[in-house]
Amino acid sequence: MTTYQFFTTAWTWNSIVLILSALAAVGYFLTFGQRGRPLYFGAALVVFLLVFISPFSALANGYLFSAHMLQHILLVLIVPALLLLSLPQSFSLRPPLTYLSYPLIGWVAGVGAMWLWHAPALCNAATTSRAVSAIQTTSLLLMGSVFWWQVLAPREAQRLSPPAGIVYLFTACTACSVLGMILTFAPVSICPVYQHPVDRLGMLSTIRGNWGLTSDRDQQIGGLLMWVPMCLIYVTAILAQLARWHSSPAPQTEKSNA
Amino acid sequence: MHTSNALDPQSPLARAIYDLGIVSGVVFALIFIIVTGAIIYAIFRFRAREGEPDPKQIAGNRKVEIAWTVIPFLIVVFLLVMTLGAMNRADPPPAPSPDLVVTGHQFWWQADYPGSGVITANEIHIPTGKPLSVRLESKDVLHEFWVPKLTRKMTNVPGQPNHIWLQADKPGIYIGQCSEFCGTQHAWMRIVVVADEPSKFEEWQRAQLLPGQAAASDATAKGLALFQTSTCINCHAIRGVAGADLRVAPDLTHVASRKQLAAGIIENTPANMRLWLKNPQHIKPGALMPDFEFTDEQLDQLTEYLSTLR
Amino acid sequence: MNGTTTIAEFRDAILDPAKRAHYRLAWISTVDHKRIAVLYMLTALFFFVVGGVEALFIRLQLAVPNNHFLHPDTFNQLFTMHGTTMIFLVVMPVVFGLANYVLPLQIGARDMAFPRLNAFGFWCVPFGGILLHFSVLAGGAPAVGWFSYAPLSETPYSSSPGADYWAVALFVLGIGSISFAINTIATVISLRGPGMTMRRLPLFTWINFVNAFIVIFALPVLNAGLAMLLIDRQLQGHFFLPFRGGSPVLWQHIFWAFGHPEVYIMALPAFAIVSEIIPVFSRKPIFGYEFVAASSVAIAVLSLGVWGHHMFTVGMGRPLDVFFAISSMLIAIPTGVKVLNWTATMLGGRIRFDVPMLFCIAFLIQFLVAGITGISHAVVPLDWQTKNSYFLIAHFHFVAVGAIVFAVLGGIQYWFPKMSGRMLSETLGKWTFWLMVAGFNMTFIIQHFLGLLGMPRRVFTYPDLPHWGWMNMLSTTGVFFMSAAALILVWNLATSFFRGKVAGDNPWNAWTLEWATTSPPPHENFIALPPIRSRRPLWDIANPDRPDPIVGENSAAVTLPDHNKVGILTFILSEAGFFGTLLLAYLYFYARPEAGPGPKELDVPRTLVFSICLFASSFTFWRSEVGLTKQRRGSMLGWLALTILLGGVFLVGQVNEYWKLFQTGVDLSTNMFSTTFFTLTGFHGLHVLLGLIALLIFLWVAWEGDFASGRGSAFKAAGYYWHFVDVVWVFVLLTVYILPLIR
Repeated sequence: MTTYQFFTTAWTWNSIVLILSALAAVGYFLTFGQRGRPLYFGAALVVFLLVFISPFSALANGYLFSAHMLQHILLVLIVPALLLLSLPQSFSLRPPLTYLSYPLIGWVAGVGAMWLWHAPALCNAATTSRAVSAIQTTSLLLMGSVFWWQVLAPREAQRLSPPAGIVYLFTACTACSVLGMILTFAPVSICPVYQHPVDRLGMLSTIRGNWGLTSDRDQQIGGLLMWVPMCLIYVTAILAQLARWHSSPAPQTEKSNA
Repeated sequence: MHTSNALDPQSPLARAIYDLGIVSGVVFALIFIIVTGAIIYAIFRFRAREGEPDPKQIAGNRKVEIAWTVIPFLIVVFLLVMTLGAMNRADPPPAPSPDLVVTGHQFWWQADYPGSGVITANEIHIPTGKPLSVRLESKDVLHEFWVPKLTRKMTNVPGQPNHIWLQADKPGIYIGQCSEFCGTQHAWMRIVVVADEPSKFEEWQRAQLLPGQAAASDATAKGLALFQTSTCINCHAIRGVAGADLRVAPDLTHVASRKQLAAGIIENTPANMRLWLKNPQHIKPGALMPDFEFTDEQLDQLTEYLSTLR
Repeated sequence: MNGTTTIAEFRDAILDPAKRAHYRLAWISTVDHKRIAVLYMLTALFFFVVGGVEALFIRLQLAVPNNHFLHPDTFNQLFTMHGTTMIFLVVMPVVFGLANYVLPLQIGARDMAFPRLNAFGFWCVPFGGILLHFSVLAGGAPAVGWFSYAPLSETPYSSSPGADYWAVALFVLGIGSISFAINTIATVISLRGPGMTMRRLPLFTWINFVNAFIVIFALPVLNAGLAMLLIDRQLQGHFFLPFRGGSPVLWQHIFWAFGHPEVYIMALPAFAIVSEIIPVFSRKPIFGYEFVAASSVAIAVLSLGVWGHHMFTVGMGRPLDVFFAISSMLIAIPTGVKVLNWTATMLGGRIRFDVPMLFCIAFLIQFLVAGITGISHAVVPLDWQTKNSYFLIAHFHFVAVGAIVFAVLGGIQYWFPKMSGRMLSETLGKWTFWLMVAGFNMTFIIQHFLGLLGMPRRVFTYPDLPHWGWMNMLSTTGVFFMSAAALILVWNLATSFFRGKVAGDNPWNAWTLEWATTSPPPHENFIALPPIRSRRPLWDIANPDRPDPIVGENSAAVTLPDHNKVGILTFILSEAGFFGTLLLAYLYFYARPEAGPGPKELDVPRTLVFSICLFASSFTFWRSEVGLTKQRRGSMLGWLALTILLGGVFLVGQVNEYWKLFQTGVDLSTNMFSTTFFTLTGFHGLHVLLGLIALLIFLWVAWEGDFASGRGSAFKAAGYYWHFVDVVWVFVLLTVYILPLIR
């Protein structure tokens, strides 16, 4: 299969994903109606769908570790962030869930989502078993949401103060970069499934030959994706924290003093 | 005069880098002119005069800031795209097996041609028009192979073979040198690449494969005996000479055919050869060849022998 | 303490021989940030002369082709010492010195948060400098370049002790730098004056504050690398020896993971100076404070992830090359934003061309060149030609001299009146400036072209190729101009100190707090602080009709965090960086197993038992802390003693494990596993030991007398450290002992 053929045909119209997305959309509008920010929700939905139906999904499904990593990053960092942004200001967590709003839990969830699923056994299982894969996706979305809650919670009061947010994001960035470095420099396969893919689509020769992606190089790119672009997401968030900090206006009382 | 001018590329590989250099050079020049222009304008236009009050206090402008964050970002994206293309042109993936292996030593180069079995030192011959797949190795510390007119530079890392392509469009002599600091005589670890027409290259290769044969005379025979009985053969190889097969130091099978001695420090003339044999530490202090304190007669014989190894 | 004298009194006093002895001692024992700052800067000035003379010799040797003026080894020692001296003994001390003087004044503090730590940090500089230069007497200065690439820096290729002195000296200097950074962070967080909120910090303080974090993260990485290099050289380890399973490329990763942030550690303070001077002499506030401040943060964070662009020619492979190219290009954006903001500050101003401003304008243009040639190194194929050539030399001297030294000279001209009470001579300053501009550009512009013509760096001589001769001669000529500039500068400093025009409190009509006190400031810095409602309190006072808008909320009533806590947490961050590097090095070799002993030699169950002792000691320490809070002396002493006992048991267990390994013939030099294992666990053990000593001191103090008075927070700080040592062991245990069981 050539590259062109692949990118035109390898769209997987995964019915479960489509149904779930439709349900989520209906649920969102029923719950929040006009109060939410549907643009963000739509964006989250689009990214979510792209993760599962675009050819990258086919690549991540047993061919390329790096494509899997891209999925991983989108599911932990991008989709949950967009989802939190789509919530109305009135949204708040109810009692048992309020535990999730502790910064330490958020941090552990965000970093854990990265580390946990790259233990070789789990990484392999997620690629070979549909059930594990479903658990993985759900957990990534949940853990990502818990992580971002500290920074993107609907109301200002629920978020960390900007300086604390910077520390939170920077340390998370470091923890994930370390994993990225380990993946990049590991001479052994972290996720052995990708070393000798089952060539379901007849793509392997194109990937190894035309794209020049050997399994070593593939894992290196995966590690680098976690290291550099992912860090850039955190850096962007850090800069957003600074912007938030500097844009909070002076209180009225003081202005009258002046 | 031969040069190592990176601005005069002589192969498609070096030209890919040069072209990228021109494009980015234009971008860089524009940035420099615009910003420096603004600074100079400010210097002349906003010079303070006596007694003037402080100017209007402007603390910033968000739109301007966003503009000059986004514009550099676009420039960077443009440069990145150009970079990726040029990387592929200047440094394609390696061939399965190398045409040439260049090994760095303190302070000289060994060149092996796995296809033909030729082994030589410091002077690398290549056929014109044909890209050669080159493997770079090191026997001791880091070295770096850099012939600016022909190709990118690349470090010779001990224990981690690296790869480059080497090519020359036209016959000629292209020079370069080790560019990673490698010890006392880093400065005199120069490289000569001789590009010949393919037929002439083949001829050279055939000649190199012959065993080392000096002119027949009494002096050269004594020189050969000296070469074998002194410790020369502990480091130097001469094909066809019994016992001389270690290559810790440059292979001398056809040493007289080379243009320079000791990796570029002196021209290869019999007189210089004699000076070198007499006191290598004087000519190249820190080189790994020790002073042997040969007598004048021995020097004559060794010189006679080595400088006829064509 | 006899520290209530000011520099002015000092100046009068040293003219009186009777008082001299007293003052010498006072300066050596000082813990006053202003005096320490002056000591920092004088030390830097001394080494500036040393490093400058080295540069002069380097350029003299290179003036003509095939020169025999210097022996190659001498030349190699000179450039190694020149680089090391200029970076670690000149630029870092001088920028730390400036920050040390100005930063507490700018935030209305009386001193740095930890005055004695401050003195310690300073004394590391001369001590490190002496260690480095002692190598000359001990068998030759290091001759391996300032980044000591392995394996040239390893014993088989550099057997003289120069490289050892180099590594130890840098280790000491690194510790000094980290202690200064801890102090800076704690000072800014905990000692700000009333009204000086974080959002109102002057840019000089803000950027130095951000810079301290880079120091905290980058220097420990270097120290870990140096430790490994020393272990290789002294204990027959082989971290970086390729023929024993080590990796020379790993040294490059470690070194540049420090080395590139180091560039910003030197450059950010220069940005800080410029961000202060340009507004004052343009008579306008900085254009886009928020963007200059935020771009500093962006630079700091990105700087930690761009080191690979120093390694594009080492064969990292295409993916790494591409990703490092991306991150390196991105860092150009916040840097560009800064340059544009400085330029915009000048536009629309009323620019006064006093000497500080002249230096800053030259800085702007030269830094622009440095930045542009910097991007060309991120454009990977261009780097493949210009790396390790004179083009690179020209580039980083445009950064180090054209930008950083120029900014520092501007800063010295700007703050000298505050430090001494007298102005530097403007005439001599202008001579220095113009000679520097001429000499610097003459020396270094041409080197770009030399590099493009194929001249590599670090060659002691070169063949007479077309153009190389005159270009090098021109470059050498420039050095004489710079030397003249340096001589005039020293003369200016010396004469103005005694005879300069009296400055007054605020000679430049500047707006930050350091100008609100006398010149030089009294020992306690301020008699009273002016009200602070914006970023330019003195502007508000001078222009009551058009004050700056109020920035953020007034947090006068807010209590600032305890400086002991901030200090120890920052210290722990730096230690985490150190252990993180050791752990990653362990993993790097763990993933590349070789013959010989491996993790299978380790007795996991026994180690678990001893680990439980260590973890339990965290609990007992907490109980002891509770005892202290509740004023129960017996409980506190008992739990503390138990903590020490448990820590001791752990150490005994580790010694026992080492002993058993030695018995079976496994020591540090056996293979890569043993090298990394002993290094990692050994450093942890060393930290446990240091923690135990600290706890023993506390036990002794508590036993001797009353502990409640004000030492509680120090005790808490020791506790943080103790818990941290335990947490490190969690990671070591998981990596070294548990991980092999899983796989």
